[in-house]
Amino acid sequence: MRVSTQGVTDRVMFELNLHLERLQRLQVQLSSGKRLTRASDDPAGAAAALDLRAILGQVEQYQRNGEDALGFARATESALGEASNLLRQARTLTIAGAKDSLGQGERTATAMQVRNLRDALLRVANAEYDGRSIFSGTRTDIKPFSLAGDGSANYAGNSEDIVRQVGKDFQQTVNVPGDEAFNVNGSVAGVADAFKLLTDIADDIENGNVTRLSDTRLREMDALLQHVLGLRADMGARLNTLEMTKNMMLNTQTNLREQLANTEEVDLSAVVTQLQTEELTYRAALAAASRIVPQSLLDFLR
Amino acid sequence: MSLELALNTARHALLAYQQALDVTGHNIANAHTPGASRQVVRLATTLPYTDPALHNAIQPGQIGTGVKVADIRRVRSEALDNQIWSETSGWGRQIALRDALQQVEAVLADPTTGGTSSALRQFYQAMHDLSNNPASLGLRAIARQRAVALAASFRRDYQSLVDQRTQLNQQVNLKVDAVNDLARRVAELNAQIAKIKAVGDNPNDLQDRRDQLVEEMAQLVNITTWTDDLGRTSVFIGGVDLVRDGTVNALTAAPDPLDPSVLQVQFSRDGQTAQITGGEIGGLLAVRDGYIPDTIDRLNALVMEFINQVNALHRTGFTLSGAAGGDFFVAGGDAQSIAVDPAILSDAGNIAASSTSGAVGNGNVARAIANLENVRFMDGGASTSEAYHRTTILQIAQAAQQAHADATTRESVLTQLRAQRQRVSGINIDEELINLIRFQRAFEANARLLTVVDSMMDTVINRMGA
Repeated sequence: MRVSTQGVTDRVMFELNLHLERLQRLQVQLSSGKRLTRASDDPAGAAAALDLRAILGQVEQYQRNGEDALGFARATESALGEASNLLRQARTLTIAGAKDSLGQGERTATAMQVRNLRDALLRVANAEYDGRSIFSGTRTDIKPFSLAGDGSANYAGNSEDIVRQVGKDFQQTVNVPGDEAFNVNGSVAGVADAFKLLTDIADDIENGNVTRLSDTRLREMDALLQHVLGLRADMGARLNTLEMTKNMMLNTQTNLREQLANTEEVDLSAVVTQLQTEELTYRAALAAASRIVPQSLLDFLR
Repeated sequence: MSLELALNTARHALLAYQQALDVTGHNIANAHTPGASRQVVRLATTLPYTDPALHNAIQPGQIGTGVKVADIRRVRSEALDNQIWSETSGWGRQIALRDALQQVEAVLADPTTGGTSSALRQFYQAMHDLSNNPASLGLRAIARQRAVALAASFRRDYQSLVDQRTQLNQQVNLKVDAVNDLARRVAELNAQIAKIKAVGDNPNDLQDRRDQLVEEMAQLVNITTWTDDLGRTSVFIGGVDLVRDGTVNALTAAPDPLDPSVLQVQFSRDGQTAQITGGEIGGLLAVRDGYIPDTIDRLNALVMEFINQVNALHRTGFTLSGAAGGDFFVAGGDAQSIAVDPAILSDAGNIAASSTSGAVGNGNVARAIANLENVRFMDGGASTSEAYHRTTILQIAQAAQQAHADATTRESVLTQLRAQRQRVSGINIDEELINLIRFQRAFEANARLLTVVDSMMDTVINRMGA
């Protein structure tokens, strides 16, 4: 077979270029730490990376939504807890006030205590989380509760739920609208709103209306307390779910990050090994070239 | 038979070997000239001398009179050339495709960060954050900022694609000029070659140069060729002659009547559109007229549907002040004209996050807009906005990768073919050195003959008389 001088140098150049190109690619991977510099380097890998990045972005957002949901739900839960504590104290006072043996001075003092509890309950009902009213439905910018002349509640909020997207197909309500929480809408049958009830109890204690206290009022108080405790328990369960979701999301995030690193980032030890192998073959090619190219019959002719 | 005959034989031989040495020298000089092929000297015996003494049985009838150079030919395989040219066109197309597509890809996105994908994601995230605290003016400002950034990102993508198209147009124009220049030089060489062929000589070097030019042309555009008896190579594009013998039917790049923003490649003779499918021009045209318009169409479709979806939700909502929501984005029919609604631009409070008038803590509409990220409103209900945009990028990336792979394959085929041609036409210095020695020795031997004849003549002329 004929081999031309040009053919030899062409071949050598082609091979050397091939090696250099591979060396360069490995070098770029090493210095950037990224396996992909362009999507066309590996479209399948890039598709996976983009996909993972999109999912990771969503999960991180759900995580953020979850944190916010937890904050609001915790505030709601603790406010409901406080409200039930206040009502429980009021219940104790109701029983105490339902005794025939009390003198008028004691009655007046007990009634005063109940009214104080009612005012405390009003403060709880108007509590805020991060500048937002907890018990005003979605009208978070206003103070929802004020007392009317007869001691019942004026409710200025609405009955809407505050909802958080905490997962792809998972929404969680993080509030209890104030009308429901404090029975403004009469969700506990036959019982007035919490403030009116406390006002009535205070009046009954002051007026020595013992029979009504120990009978109707106590029953009404129990029903209201059950209602608030039920709401609190429900919110507690939601808190649990939110916590669980948060932990799940954290796990998912870690997994996704790992997968993303696997698709996007270079395996350092593998690349270094490849680089060394490639360097070796490049050296060999150079050595071969240095032996072949300068050879000619001229070296042997005198 | 005379001494003069021998003297003449030696003279012929000296001339022939000198010429052979010239050709060897030419070969060595051009051992690394691109396109130069090996030339060989064909030596032949000269006409023999017939002795007139026909009846003399002792004498042989014919006496050789020496050697002459019959012709000097280049060693070349036309079939290989044709194969290389067609492969070169394919290779040229793939490298132009690859380079142009990689540029489009770079415009659309970095695979890991940035680009419209992340702007889209950040917009959805901002809407999520807003839904968590819809009364917050800070979050509203951020949501507006993300929307502005997203609109700018869409517009930038569109503009970059249009710019790329313009740039490809300019490249096509330049390369058409290059083809015309090559065609003119090929035609000139054809004319010279025909003249020399007509008198029976071989214009080896002119043919080499012409073939080299044709090969450069093949890299730019798909061509077919035909070489006639006078050695003229005519060049055709899609069956229409670009070069016929010594005349050129040049290409022109004229505005396309259907779309004046792009140049159409036509023949200057009759304005006929050139059927360009291969070569670098073919690759550029494929990106300019195929990939980029497709990508722009996809971008437009995404932007229009995205605006529709967001606006439809936004109009059901209520602003911070309780007014009914207007449009979130204003649309103009393509990706270039997307912008955030002026009402929102002037006051972020006009983002209608709430589904109930006056309920500032209600983020239902903001949440619904954020949840659009999972709604498959593209591809007739098959893809989410992000997935659709990702597909747009990946289609280009895939085409670029394919072009790269094809270019690599064709390059190695081309390398093989070139090596094959080198085997036939390439110059080997060792071989030429051997020829050098061969011809030198032959020259020396004939010079020796000359001295021998000279001394014989000396004997006859000077010594015999005495």
